[in-house]
Amino acid sequence: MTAGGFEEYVTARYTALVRYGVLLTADHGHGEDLVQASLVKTYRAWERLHPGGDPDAYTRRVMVRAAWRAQRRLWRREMPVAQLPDTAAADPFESTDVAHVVLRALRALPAQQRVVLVLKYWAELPEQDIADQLGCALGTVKSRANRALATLRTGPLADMVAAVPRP
Amino acid sequence: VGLDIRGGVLRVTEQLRDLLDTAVAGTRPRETDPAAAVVRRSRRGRRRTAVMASVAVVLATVAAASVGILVGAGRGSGFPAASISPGSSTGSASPEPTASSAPTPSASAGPTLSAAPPRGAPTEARVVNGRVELGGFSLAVPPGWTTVGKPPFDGCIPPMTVTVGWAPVHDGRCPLDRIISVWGEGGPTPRGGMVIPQGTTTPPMAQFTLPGGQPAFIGTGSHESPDPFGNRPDLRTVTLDMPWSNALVELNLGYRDLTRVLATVATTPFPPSPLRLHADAQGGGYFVAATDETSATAAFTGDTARAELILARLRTLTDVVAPGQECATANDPATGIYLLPSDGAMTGNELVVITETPTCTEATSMMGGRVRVPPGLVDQLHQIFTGTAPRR
Repeated sequence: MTAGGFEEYVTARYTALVRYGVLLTADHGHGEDLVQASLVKTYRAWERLHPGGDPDAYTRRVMVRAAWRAQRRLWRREMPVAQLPDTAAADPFESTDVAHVVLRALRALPAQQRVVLVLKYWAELPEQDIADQLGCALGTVKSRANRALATLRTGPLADMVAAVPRP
Repeated sequence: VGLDIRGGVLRVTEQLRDLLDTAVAGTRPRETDPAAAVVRRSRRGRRRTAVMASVAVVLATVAAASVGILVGAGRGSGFPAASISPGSSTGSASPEPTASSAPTPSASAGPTLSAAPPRGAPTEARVVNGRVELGGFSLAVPPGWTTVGKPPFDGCIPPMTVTVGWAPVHDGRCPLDRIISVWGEGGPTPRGGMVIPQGTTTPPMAQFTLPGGQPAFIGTGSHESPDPFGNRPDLRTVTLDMPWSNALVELNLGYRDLTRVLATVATTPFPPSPLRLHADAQGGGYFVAATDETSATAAFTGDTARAELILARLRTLTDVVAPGQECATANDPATGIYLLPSDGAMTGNELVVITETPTCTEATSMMGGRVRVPPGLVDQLHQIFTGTAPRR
């Protein structure tokens, strides 16, 4: 049914990719959708990615670029509302208060700030690597990261982040 | 971890990483057979182009015979005739309808012409006299439908709803059965710009002209069906971008309703002009070249000199399209050119959409302006972007 090795790869990596997608989008539904959309590209490129390539790096790169452009692409799926609906309480996947607060704070960030924040502070990529992945200037990465941190310091994560010295 | 400023940076990293880890520690995928789901999705994606081709026929029909449809809709579609007058959304004088598919400039342009909206100017959708308005765009609220100004905190949106100022998310949780959304991009939110890897295959763009003269850029949508439960397989998602009005519209409708709703669209005329472009494009450029009717290939450059060359080439296009002489249809695959500002901030991107077919050559800037283009322009620009030999 599937290209050789693809099913095994997806089975092994799907949960980790979904978690990555959830952070990049700050939404469980969007996050899993982002993963599946990215895996479609991986599936179509499977012949050159397997066995000699790195399908996980490819998939993550596709995810990051899709999340980065989500706000800027011509036909967006983002909801342009002033205040986001607080649907997390009804989401059984946001099982803890901290998870709920963190995802809500991420959701309040513009997509580009959120992506840079996740890449820098969760994936722990150097800023130049982030810029290379996103195809943007190093200064853009720095400014997005700084703005994201500044926003977090005034949002629901303020208590958790405010005491941290500014970089 | 406690070393001066560097120690502070480390603490930031660790603290945020812990928080982010916690946020997704309990996350479990909903899809139980993801590999099969991905394969199914890949196959649906390939079929989608065929589906969208039928939608394109509707859009092309509306564009080509917009005025005639407007008149017809008032009689037989169930939409009130009074609500389909072009230009009524802004209170400006309406263009006189004619039976011609290529109305004269005076008829199409109307007596009131608007200046191009300032980029980034806030716009807000609203309902006035049974029409949803945003900028110079409007459409009639279908009879029996309701409008909703805010997203529900939980639950799904009922059928036959127009969401005003926002759009529901396609997350598979709720069907989007007969849902129309009208919203805009305001304030600092930029428009346009697709950063996609070189060689990526994407659906092609398309553009056509709405009643009143404003362009609509068409997205093929990222969803095979807005009803994930399969109860309404006839539903389609069509997303239109009216850049001159800062308006976005998503239509989750069946074929018949789609035709009726589009027949009520009105836009405010704009004065003909050459392409309005940024003063510079030193940050680079992105390019999506249509390769055939169903796909497009991305190319890009971050080279300032090349971006400036592209901008300079676009500035040479001075054959302004007269009102009513627009020729691009939704069936024509188009090329999108994104020009980035010099500050590298990736905001305020400029998009120019070029239709180049044997019967129509037309370029439209999202900031205003519509011109004819010489044959082969897309190839020329592609060569500048990539530094490669001609594609054909």
